[in-house]
Amino acid sequence: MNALLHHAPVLLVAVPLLGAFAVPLVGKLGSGLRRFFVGLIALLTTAIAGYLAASFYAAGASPIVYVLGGRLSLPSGMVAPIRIMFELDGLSVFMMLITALAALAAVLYTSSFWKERSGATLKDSLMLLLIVGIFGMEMTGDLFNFFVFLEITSIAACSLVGFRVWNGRSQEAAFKVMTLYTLSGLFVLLAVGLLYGQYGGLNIAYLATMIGSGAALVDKIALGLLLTGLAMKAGAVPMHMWAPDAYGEAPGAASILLVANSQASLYGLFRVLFTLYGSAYSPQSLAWILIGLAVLTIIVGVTMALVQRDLKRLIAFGAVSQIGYMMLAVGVGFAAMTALQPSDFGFVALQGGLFHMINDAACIGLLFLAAGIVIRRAGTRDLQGMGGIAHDLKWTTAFFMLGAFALAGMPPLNGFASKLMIYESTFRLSPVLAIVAILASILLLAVFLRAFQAAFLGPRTEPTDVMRPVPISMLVSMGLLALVVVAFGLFPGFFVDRIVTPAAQALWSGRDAYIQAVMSGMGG
Amino acid sequence: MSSGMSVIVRTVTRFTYALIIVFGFYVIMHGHLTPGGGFQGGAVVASAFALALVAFGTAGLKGALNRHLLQSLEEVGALAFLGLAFAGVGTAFFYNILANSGSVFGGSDPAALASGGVLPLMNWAVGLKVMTGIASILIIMVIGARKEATE
Amino acid sequence: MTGITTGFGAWNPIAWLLLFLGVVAGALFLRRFGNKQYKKNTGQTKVFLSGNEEPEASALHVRGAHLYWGFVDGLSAYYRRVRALHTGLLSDYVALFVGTLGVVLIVLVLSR
Repeated sequence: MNALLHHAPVLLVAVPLLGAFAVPLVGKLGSGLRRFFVGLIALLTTAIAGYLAASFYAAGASPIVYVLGGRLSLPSGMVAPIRIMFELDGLSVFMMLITALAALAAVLYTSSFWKERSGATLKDSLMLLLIVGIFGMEMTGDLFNFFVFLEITSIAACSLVGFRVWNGRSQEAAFKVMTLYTLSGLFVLLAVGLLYGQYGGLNIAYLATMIGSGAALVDKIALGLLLTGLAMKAGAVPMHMWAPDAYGEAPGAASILLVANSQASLYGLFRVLFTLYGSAYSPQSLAWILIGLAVLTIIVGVTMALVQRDLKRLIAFGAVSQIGYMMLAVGVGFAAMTALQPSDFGFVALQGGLFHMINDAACIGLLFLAAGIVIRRAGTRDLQGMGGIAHDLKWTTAFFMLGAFALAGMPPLNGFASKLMIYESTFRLSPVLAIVAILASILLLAVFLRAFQAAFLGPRTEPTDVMRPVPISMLVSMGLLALVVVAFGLFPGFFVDRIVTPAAQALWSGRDAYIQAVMSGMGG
Repeated sequence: MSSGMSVIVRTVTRFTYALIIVFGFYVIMHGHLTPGGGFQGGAVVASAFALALVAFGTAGLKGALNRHLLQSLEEVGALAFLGLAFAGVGTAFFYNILANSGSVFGGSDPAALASGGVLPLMNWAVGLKVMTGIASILIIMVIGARKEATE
Repeated sequence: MTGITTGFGAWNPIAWLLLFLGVVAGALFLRRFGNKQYKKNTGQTKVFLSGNEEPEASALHVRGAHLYWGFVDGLSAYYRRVRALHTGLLSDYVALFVGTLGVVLIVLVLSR
């Protein structure tokens, strides 16, 4: 194993962190150099992520453990893993790929979006910091460091939401987001503290071995706190209220990173449910809590999207409803896995839910990025005041339509492939759930047709020269996401086999491998 | 805020200013031996800046605390910390390359000031970042408060 | 290779695309039998609104807030309740969080 590959997990966090701190210094030398530097950092990070993923899958997708500051075992021969470590299994690597995609698209897009505004240096710094936090959440093998990275994402995210300091609405949204993120972070910290007090360890693998079968009361309370706190950060109804505020007020490129951030929280939820507790404590009621939240999220998200007049809030409610699909699929998978007789459809549900995560990141990202251009062009976020964008911005129109169709699950795009897997596996557990999911998906198509009709069709409103031509870097950024949408749509089997199945396998049966990867290295 | 406070406060500040900074540096320097460390020591130093800001006001300081310089130094502190972490990458990220090496800070006596490998250096990096960071936040808050007062 | 199986059904986008192209080709083929007798740029191709003048295009554009009015009105009982939840007040957000936390904790503590 060569040195770069060996250090790749930590470089994924260290390189953007270095970038985030160096950007203000580089920015003093000139804005062109700063944009080049930020782009270089983003490209480097994506390249490391791609290289790590490629060699991870080539090596058979067995978990990788990276220990910071030395060897796993201590000189004193202590058997509990106390060092800070990163642990990557199929799910972590899959999430890492989603984040790398979102990060690259966001940085490319933002390099020309903020050219003429002040404070661009801070924005670059905060975006890189948010990327650091998301990568850290997805890779850490340590519950307390998970909380630390969660807080990094919270701080960076609410600063980005409140970035337009001249705008009162964004300040209000940032305040709400900050309060709720802090609240969720504190409850997660409380749960971590409870587990630490009970078992004297913070390592996820170590805690997983300590939580024996038939969890104690304190384990259940910690699970409840973790589940609710992370579900709120993921944006599950009825704790989704911050999401439209945040997505709506954040700059376009930051919105896609906020989506990746929500998905990282969802990853944390899955990690807790399947790895930390898993077979030790997995009552059916837990699966039904997840499914209940998911159904609420789907219905409320879609129906509220239908009545929004603000374009970004409309997309934001669409994003909320998609979180519901992922939770529904994984809840169904959890129910099937923990039933007395595990059934295979649960594995398909997990595959569908995880596949939908990367599809959602691409589609919602595409919509947010296109909406950013539309809003700059129209000068308003109100759908009532828009119209005729399609006359001038042909590529943007095409990208928006592609994103909307894919998200609503139109064949042959990627959203259809993942939603089909969700519908057909959910149907086996309960037909009612599948019907709700399908109806909501149809309604989602109606939502985006409305947005498309109002913003893009019709005669030209006031023709201005704003955003014309659309900067190349923005088109490249959207083109990247559109390529993912089309490629994943036309060759779903190829991608499901290679990247989604190892991730689903990590949830379905990877708990022992995850624990063994750390615990077998101890005591030596 | 710009005018400063009474002559008593200003005189006491002149006496205590240097003492607080020296104490802060002491906390940073002995971070690997005694309770405290880079963050705490940096916060103590920054409290001296806060005292000066309150006692003399921004006008009285006559630009002695330059916000842009402070912000640059903050980045330097963060990068120095990260650089020390990168230095261990031959073995592992954050690996302590200087510990027990016999060179500077590589002493084997655990109670000596020159021990702990890269830990004292990391304390200095964190201390620099925290003192300059908090100081620039304070300056921005004072400027904001003055703007509100004049409006 | 390109398709996926769900254990219940299967999905192959390439086959779907081929079928789609086939249907499009069939539709174009049928279209060839259409009537080509009409004359362009005459009264035959103009919009007929009971003899009234056709309004300007900008007056015809259905704006965003007007779409699906009927659907939303039909579900007004539901929308009244859901909209009432979205107060935008931070204390309500926190109350909903705490309420959900309570429900989750009760269910977990009561279950085996």
